[in-house]
Parts: sequence; C-alpha cells; structure tokens
Amino acid sequence: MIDANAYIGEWPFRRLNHAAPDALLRKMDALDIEKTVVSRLENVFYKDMMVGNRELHRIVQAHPDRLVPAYTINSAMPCWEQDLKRCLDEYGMRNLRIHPNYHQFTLLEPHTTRVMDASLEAYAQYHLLTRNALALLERAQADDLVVLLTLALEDSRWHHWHVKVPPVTTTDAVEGICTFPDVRFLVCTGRYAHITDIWRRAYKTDNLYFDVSRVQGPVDDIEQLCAQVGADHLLFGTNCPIFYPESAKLSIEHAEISDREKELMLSTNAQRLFAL
Amino acid sequence: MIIDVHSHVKNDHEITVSLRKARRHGIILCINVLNAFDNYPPTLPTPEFISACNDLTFNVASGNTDCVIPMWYLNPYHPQEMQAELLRRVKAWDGHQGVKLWTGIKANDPRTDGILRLCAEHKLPVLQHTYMAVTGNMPGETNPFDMRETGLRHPDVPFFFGHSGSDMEYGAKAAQGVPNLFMDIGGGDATNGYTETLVEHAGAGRVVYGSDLNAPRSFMSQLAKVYGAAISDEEKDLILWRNAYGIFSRQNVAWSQFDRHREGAAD
Repeated sequence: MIDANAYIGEWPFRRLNHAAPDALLRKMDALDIEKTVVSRLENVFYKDMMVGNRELHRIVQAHPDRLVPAYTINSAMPCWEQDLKRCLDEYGMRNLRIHPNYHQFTLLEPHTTRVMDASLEAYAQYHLLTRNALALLERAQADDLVVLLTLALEDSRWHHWHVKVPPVTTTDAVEGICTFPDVRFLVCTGRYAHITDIWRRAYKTDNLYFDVSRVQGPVDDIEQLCAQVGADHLLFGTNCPIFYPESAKLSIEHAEISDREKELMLSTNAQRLFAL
Repeated sequence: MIIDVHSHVKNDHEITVSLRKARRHGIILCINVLNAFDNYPPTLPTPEFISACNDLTFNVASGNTDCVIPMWYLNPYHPQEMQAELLRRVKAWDGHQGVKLWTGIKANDPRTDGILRLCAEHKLPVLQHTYMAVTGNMPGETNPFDMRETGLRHPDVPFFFGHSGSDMEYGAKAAQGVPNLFMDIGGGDATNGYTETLVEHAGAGRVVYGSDLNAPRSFMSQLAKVYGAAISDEEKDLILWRNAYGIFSRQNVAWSQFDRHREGAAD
C-alpha cells in the first residue's frame, strides 16, 4: 500500500498526531503502508521553502525505502527558480508540491476568459501572480515532474479567525491542468464533487489523477468515482497528519468494488505515477 | 454493534445502499429524512413539508426495523404544529425513536421550549445541528454557545450535539459541565485529533458516533474518527454504541429486533 499524499511536520493551530517522522513511520507500520509520498507541512506557511525542503531531504534520506519526497515550491517568491534548481540538482527532485491558495498564485493564464460569478469573486485576490505560476508549471513539464496540486488542507470554515484561506477553485485547477496536458497532475484533497467536476471539465486527460483523502461521502463515494472517473485515475492518499489516515484506507477497503480496482488505488497507480 | 445517531436519506438509491452497507457493518441507523423530494431542504420547511419527510422516515423505519431508529424531523419555527406532529409520530411508533430539529431557528429560541418539554416527557433524544464557521453561520444556525444554553435550560433532554459544533474545540469546551450534551462526531472531515479532543474535555461517556450519512458523508470516513483515535478500546466502545444504547434504553423498549447487530457485524 502506498500513501500518495501526506506530510511531515507541525501545524500552527493545533497539536497533530503523527507529525514527527518516527510517529508517521509507526502509523504506516500499523496500517500496512509500505511507502508514503511526503511534503514538509511547515512549508504551507514558511516563506523560505528551502528551510522545509532541506529538512524534508534530510528526513527522507534516513528512510529512502519508506518516504518519497514531494518538494514544495512557491512561485510567488523571488528567485523561486533557484529553489527549484537546488531541489532538482541537489535533492534529485521528481515530485513538486504546490499550494496555489496558501501561496497566493493561480494556475490561470492572464487572458483566460472565465465567468466571474459571485462565488468566484471571493477568490479574485489569488489571481495575482499568474505569470510565475505558469512558469513553474512549464518547468514541471520540462523536468517531467509529478505535480501534487493541493486544493485545501482542511475545511476552510474551521480556519483561524485571522488566517482564512479559501480552497483552490476547481476552475483554477481545470485551467491549469488543461494548459499543461503533458504534465502529470495529482490533485490532492478534492471532495467527491470537486473530483467529478474537474474530471468532467478537464477533458479526461490521461495525465490526471486524484487522491481520495478528502472523499468522505456520500455513502457510495468510492464506487461512484470508480464508475465515473475510473480506478486507474484514483490513488490512496491520507492527507496525514491533518486527517486520520484510516479514513481513506477504510473507505477503499470497504468499498463495493473489485479487488483489482482496490489494488490499483492502493498501490499500482502510485507505483506507476511515482515510478516506485 | 454500532449505533449511528446521525444519518440521512432522501431517495431510493440512498436508502438501498445505506441500508445494505449498514447491515453489512452491523450499524443501527438513526435515520432522518430532511427532504423527501430529493434535493436540499428549504430554509423554513412548512408543516406539510415536514410531515411528508416524516412519512418517508416512517416508511423506511417500519420496513427495516432490524436496523433503523426513526428521528422525527421538526422545524421549531412552527411550534404548535410541530408539537402536534411529534405527538402524532410518537403515538404511531412503538420502538426506539428520537427527534431531529431543523435549523430554522436556534435551539435556544424560546419557540423550541414546548417541543423540548415533550421530548423530555417521552424520553426522546434530540439531534441538534450545530456549527461554528469562521466564514459565518447560516441564519438560525445553532452555534456551540447556543447549544450549551439549550442543554442547561432543558437538563432532562439528552441532546446529540450535532457535529460537536463542527469546530471541535468550540464544541468540546461548550459541553463542559452540561451532562445531557452528547458530542456527535458526525460530519466534517476526518480531522486528526477530533475525537481525542472531545474525549479529553467531555469524557468518552459523552461522545457518540454519528456519520451525517449522505449529507454528504460516508460511514467509513466518520468511523475513522473512532478507529483512528488514540483512545482505549473501552472508550471506542462507548462512542460506537454504549452511550447511545444507554440513552435509547431510557425509553424502556425492547432491543430484540436489533439482535443481529448486538451479536456482531458480518464483517
């Protein structure tokens, strides 16, 4: 079993179980998770991504058979290209984690026509650094990186009073994905409705994958996603330590789908996507 | 055995799949129909709308007595009509039962008092939706402060504190010292530490399993909040069924129809 979406590190707003590497490894053992794709959780808030990336590199070096790094780059910061170069050259980076909402950039092209309905206007503040976001994704394409596009970390209704961060809209995600059809995207923490919406609007690209960490209903969520999207585009991911990792594991294991579909979601797709 | 104090269905597909999975996993469903017309319920449902929903709840419960407890849906915005609706439902049902209050008005609004006095008289637990959204609550939506006030005002009514306030730290704090508030873990993401926080502040004896099934949650994402929590097996048992079993047992109705679940789940 391979967890395609998890983190190591602390969260500013509450204590987390399994935040430290040893605790995560113990949890992986308890749940029979062989490998986990991890990013540094502090990089959601740090301005210097290399602080978290350097720590992540040190941690995964100690557990190369268990932890697969996804380094975080914030293209809204000056000289982000240097951060990316260091990750590529020194850390052998193969997977890129992006947080377009927390890091205040969008995937949209400047000239993209979009319908600005009331719900989207609230997110307009994030449509500021388009050029850099596009440049980052161009680099991801050139360097054949898997892009972990994280829509949200947790329910925005529970955010801290002074740190309210709306999720990445499905419109932003779709337009980023469609602009770079050769980039392999793993869309992380989409709900059932987000995934079906993105899949429908992103022309069903072969390079598009979703983790199911935040697919938490309705009653036959996994079955419906397998029918609509296909098990070959769905990956087991936990969003640990923000979520209980048991949620995604139990949801797949108890879904009324074939053993083959479970195997694809729990390991085969991740093996292929991350070349494990 | 597992007792799910917070589940919804609204169409044939949800009813069929939910009941099949509930039986498979040994779950007794406390079912409430929020909308018998298969879409999102109106802001202030009329007494006729409420009655239609309760008719469907009745049909689902009476056709599946081995795994369903009905939770009668009431909109306290219409206090007199809802008291009459509740009395009619209680009279027509001879098994375990409870009440689900709609969010038309806050739980601590005086218009709910008559309904809640009837609930105390008939030993009916009340599932009350609560939320604490930093983005702003809906009009009439009960927050943890309102829930605490309601619990203190009606000490003889056991309340299922719906979603535990959603933001568990608010909910857990608001429930302190109010023994008739039982924290429902249902709804919301499977947030790591959620259940441990409730157990720490309220005690495992006052936490109950709910899924908020189909609105839009699943069984497994919410069961993960129990199975994944760093608490003892005894505490997990309290949350999964013992606490709810104790609350419904006050109604002095036999549990025999649920024997299959009491003996354990199929898997």
